[in-house]
Amino acid sequence: MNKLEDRLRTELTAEAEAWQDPSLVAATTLRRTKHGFAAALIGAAAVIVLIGGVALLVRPAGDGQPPGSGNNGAPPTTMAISDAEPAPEWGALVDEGLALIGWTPGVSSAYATSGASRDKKTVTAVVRSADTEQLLLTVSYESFEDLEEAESWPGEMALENGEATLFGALYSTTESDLPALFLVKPVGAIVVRVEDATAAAGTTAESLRTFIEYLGSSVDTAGLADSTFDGPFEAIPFSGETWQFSVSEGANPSRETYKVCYSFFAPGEMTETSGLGRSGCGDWPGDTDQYFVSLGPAIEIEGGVVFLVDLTSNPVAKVRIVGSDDHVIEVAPFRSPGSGKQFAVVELPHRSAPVTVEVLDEAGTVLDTGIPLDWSAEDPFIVPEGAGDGRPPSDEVVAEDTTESTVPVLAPLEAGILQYDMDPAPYEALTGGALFLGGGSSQETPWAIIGRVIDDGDKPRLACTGVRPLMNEDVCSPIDRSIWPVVYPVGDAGIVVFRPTQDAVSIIVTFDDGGVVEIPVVGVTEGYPAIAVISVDRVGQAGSATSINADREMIDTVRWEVTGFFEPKG
Amino acid sequence: MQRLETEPDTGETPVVIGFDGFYRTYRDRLYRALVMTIRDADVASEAIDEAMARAAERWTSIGTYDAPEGWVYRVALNWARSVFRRKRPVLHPPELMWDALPDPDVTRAVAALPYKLRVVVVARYYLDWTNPEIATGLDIPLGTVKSRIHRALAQLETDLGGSR
Repeated sequence: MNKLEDRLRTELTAEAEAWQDPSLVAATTLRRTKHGFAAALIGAAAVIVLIGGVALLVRPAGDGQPPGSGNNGAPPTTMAISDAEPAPEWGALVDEGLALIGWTPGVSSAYATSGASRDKKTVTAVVRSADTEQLLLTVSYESFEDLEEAESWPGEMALENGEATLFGALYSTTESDLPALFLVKPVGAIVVRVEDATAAAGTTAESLRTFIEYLGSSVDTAGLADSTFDGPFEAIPFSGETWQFSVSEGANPSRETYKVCYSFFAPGEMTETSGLGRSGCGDWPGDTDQYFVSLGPAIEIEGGVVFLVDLTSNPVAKVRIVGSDDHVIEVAPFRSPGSGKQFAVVELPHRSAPVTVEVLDEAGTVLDTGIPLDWSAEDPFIVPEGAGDGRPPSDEVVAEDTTESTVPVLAPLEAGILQYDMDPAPYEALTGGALFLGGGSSQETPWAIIGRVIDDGDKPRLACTGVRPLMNEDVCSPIDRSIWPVVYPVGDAGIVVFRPTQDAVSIIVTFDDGGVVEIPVVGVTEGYPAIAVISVDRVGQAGSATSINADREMIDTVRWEVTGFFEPKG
Repeated sequence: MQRLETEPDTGETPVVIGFDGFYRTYRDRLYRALVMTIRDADVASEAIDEAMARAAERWTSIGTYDAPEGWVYRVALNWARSVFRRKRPVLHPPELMWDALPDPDVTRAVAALPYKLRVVVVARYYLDWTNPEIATGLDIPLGTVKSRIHRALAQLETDLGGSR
């Protein structure tokens, strides 16, 4: 160890101690007045975890390789299951890389879903009990992309909840792969050793299916088909010199809809850093008679924009875009094979703004016309990344909206539902104390808690995960273009909380069953995240939401849907 | 990384832990690392608490990670950066504290490093993570970690007058 490294270790250790010495940092802690509440919240969260009875089974620290793969990091080549133990039944899922699931007779179904977006990739495994259909396990993994120099996800995993154990390992074979391997077993019934997975790694869906059959176990081919995540589709006809458009889709657990994701990225292999502009995911087909989800510029290019026509799954033969300069483009939309979800993407010069977008059927009949869009106003694109030492200053100011809205404007919050307070507030009990919602700020950052209080005679406690919706809940991607609709139940109805970007001044919410409202964004404090809330009253209610800035320009659009309401105990 | 165990690891018996143990073990250490990286005690505290809260909410998943502390640290860093993106940072007068340190020149030199270099230096020399652990924890390529460490040490050597 050299002298400099010695000095660093010594001094950083001393400095670390000093930061917790009030006499040394008093001048810097004057603003910290509300931190105690955050700590209390964490404590409460810890209690919830403990109450839930979820324990983590930590295996002895290893070398970061999957068990039995001690081959100097070289890809393993076989998979072995102990002969002394009963083999699990196997199902499988293939993503861009590999995801393989096995389950035993004690588990009725196990599946994994995964999605790729501009900033992250996820794999989620869900296991249900055969007898009760009770959800046994849900495990998610995120952000595999930067395993650039790793042959495998570092280490095996094991998770136990008393009824089943999810055990397996995740493998990454190339930077673009999203491989995973999950093995599921009842506690204590079998021991599965994953000695090798190369036989499957990097294979296609078809060859993986063969591989699984080779294992000699029963294979639920229907499950295979339903859980395959396809894409990115290569046949998408939309790309430019500096961008490509990508679409993937995968069947949802209900097997009635697909998760469809789109993104823009720089030409070449998709990586975590090659994403451009907008991206998003949604469940399709949707229960709507509309054709448009959203329209608008997605990427700025030299002299113009890449314009995204985000369509629903209602069939459209052609998309016609007419610019104010008489620039006319007609394209056939890309139709995702499973869901029917459609997109069209074109490059348009700035001079074409505003444009009108029409969708046509096979006979050339105009089915619908989108709202004329003008992106020519100054700087319609957000520049999210700062520079310098990682503490980018922000001069962004939420400008006052002086334009007139063309849709009715609702009150910011539905009366009686949301209690919003800029100071840490006591929880506000609603509907007989079963549900509550609190709001406040910590370090001037707005937050809210929406959840349920269980008061069973002991000590009232928080028992719902709908906490802190005002924070950036996605840890891997910036929120700069997201709205983040989250549905929370309140009694026999619910609310949808949108979290727009800081420069959003309102959100235009469209209901699939008719109606459109504009909701002012509230809670903006020096540019911190804000929220807008609508009330909903039935499962299946859905629509879209578009955030707009002070210049009435679209920032982002998302789909929202009420998939269920919370049923308070008692 | 420091392994989290509630009883001696015999190499045979798995150790059952929960979020509360993780919190008690790592909260202060990660806070200290973060505050040295972002140079703002208030934001660091908020960021660590925010990250811990998220970890608690998703502990059934996060807790299975080989190094949950890496995830929490990365979340906290990202959260702090998001705060700084939205607000011009308040620059604190740190001289009083630095003068009380045994080797304030080093502290000043580290504080003067560009953010990305400072992150890896603190992770390497305070958290004592290996380069692969930094790569995993911060979700950046191992090669990037190595190059940043190299650049940081070169800059520190220059700033400190060739102490290597």
